[in-house]
Amino acid sequence: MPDSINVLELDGIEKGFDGSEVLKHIDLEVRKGEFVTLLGASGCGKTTTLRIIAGLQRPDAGRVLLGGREVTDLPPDRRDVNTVFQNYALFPHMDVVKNIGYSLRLKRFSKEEIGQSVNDALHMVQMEGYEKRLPGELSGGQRQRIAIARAIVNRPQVLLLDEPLGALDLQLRRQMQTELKGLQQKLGISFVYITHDQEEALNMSDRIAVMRDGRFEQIGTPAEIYDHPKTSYVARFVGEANILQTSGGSVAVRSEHIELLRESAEAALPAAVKSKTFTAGLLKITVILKDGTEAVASRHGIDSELEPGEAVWIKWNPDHAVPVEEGGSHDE
Amino acid sequence: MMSKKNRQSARESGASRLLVAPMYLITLFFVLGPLIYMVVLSFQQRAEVWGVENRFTIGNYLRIFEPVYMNTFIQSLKLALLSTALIVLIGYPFGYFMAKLSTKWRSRAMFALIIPFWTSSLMRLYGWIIVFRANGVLDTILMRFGLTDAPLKLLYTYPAVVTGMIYVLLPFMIYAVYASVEKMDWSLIEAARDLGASPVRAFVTVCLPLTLPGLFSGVILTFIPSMGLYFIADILGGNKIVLIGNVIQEQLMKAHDWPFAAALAIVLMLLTSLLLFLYGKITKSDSLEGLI
Repeated sequence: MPDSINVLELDGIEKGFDGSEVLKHIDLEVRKGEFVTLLGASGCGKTTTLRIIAGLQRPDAGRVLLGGREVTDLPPDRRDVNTVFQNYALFPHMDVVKNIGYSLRLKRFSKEEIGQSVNDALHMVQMEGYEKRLPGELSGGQRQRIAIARAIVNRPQVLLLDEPLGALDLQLRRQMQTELKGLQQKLGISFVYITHDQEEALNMSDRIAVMRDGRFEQIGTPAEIYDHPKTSYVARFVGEANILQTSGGSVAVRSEHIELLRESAEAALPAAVKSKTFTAGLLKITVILKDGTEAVASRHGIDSELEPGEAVWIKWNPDHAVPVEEGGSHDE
Repeated sequence: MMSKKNRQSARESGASRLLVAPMYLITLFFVLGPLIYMVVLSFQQRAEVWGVENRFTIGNYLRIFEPVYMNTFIQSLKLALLSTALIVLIGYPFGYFMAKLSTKWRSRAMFALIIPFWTSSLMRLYGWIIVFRANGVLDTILMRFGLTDAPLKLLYTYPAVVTGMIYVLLPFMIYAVYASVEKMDWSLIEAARDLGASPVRAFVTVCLPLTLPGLFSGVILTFIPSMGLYFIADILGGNKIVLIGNVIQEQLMKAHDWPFAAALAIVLMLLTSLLLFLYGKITKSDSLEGLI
């Protein structure tokens, strides 16, 4: 397959359930070996998109192409795509080896070939020594690894991952992020990855598609999404930027670029301190502007001398302000 | 106040155990007691006129080896196996598809299955007489549509008894299968499809093994009673189909040979247990995985 052909292409996908539109014209192209993340809040349609790619659901309109071939009407067992399910969906009555070898047994590979491939897959997810365990005897993180091994063992063109790290604790999640990315680069398989965790998306992806209400709000590299959000939704969702009104329209300013002053200055806006919280190593000071909008400024350190109720002025360097479309672009 | 009391007793496991102890004692007394009595009885001798003589004998057990009783055992076993097999064939798909119905239709189907239980099964079996008897409902319908020329006279035949067995026991199989299919995780089927299994393969390799416990309890719930449901053979088989249950009932109620009836019942119990034990051995082995 020439590199110019997209491994996966979604062309005008639409899907509704019981009269409500879940997907409104989704277009997506995934290149060979690319790590694409669908990022969005729950209910935005990302899982439905994944299920349509896998063939577990049929779109109302639009086409799905795999390696340039249309597969829209093909059942899941006839698509060169595998899925890592959110709940892992390991077969509880089969041990680790049987689970991983399932797809190979269906394809009637020889015992030796299956054994070799299963061992390779186990090695890849660092789970040697667990061959005879049943899924019920594994921890969440171990089940996760087996689910990944089962999905990559027959080297699909595209691997779909539905919030695979969602059930793991923070530390394990960070570790798995690194491992998954490494695995993806080693295998050269395209990953379509679903998450609602912006940090995860920024860490792992080649490209991120920010999804909202059944549409892609913006598709771009992590740097593009973070530094140049197109809409206020993207700016807020990725990196929790402040959306501030200026004479030239709405701008997104990240909390670390907001200065708090005790006295008025040029281009500073008057505000009142509302609250202070300390999270993830940063002190976040929320202020309320005259027009009622809230803005968050973050500082290093555990406390500041500013107290709730105090009058302040906020200011930002115009270089760090990114113009955005207010309210998204749903009414065109 | 009551709930506080309950919570306290739940915390002190010793005390809570004491509280439920009477239930275990009652159950033991009423289940184990009669069983022991029956074993003792089976080694005693029938008295000349009425009752039991307290004299040890194994004659009751030896008598079972007489051809007439052996044949009855074999016939009962055949009928039970056939009925259970047919109940599995009808009940599994029934329970399976019932579990896949929408919630609304599921409760309707459940209701429809419960309705017959509002009437005594004895009464309902008499209903089958009307269906099966010569020139009865079945014959009338078949002849109306020109499928048969003359009455089939199905009443008091083997098929009539098998039908009665299926009729009475099928709901238990349906419930058992329904319960296990209903709580199955359907994402496992999706995973199987995703990994390349056709719908049939996904069913055989994932759904069937995971609902086997339901099928197993369904078999237990139907096979055990089908060995002993003598009144079905009585009502729909006349005196032509004699099952071991009929013999036991006859020995107990008509011949008043309690020790022999007890011996027959114990052999029946052992035979049933043995068969279920073997069945459990077979289904627990890896034989099903060979299907993939």
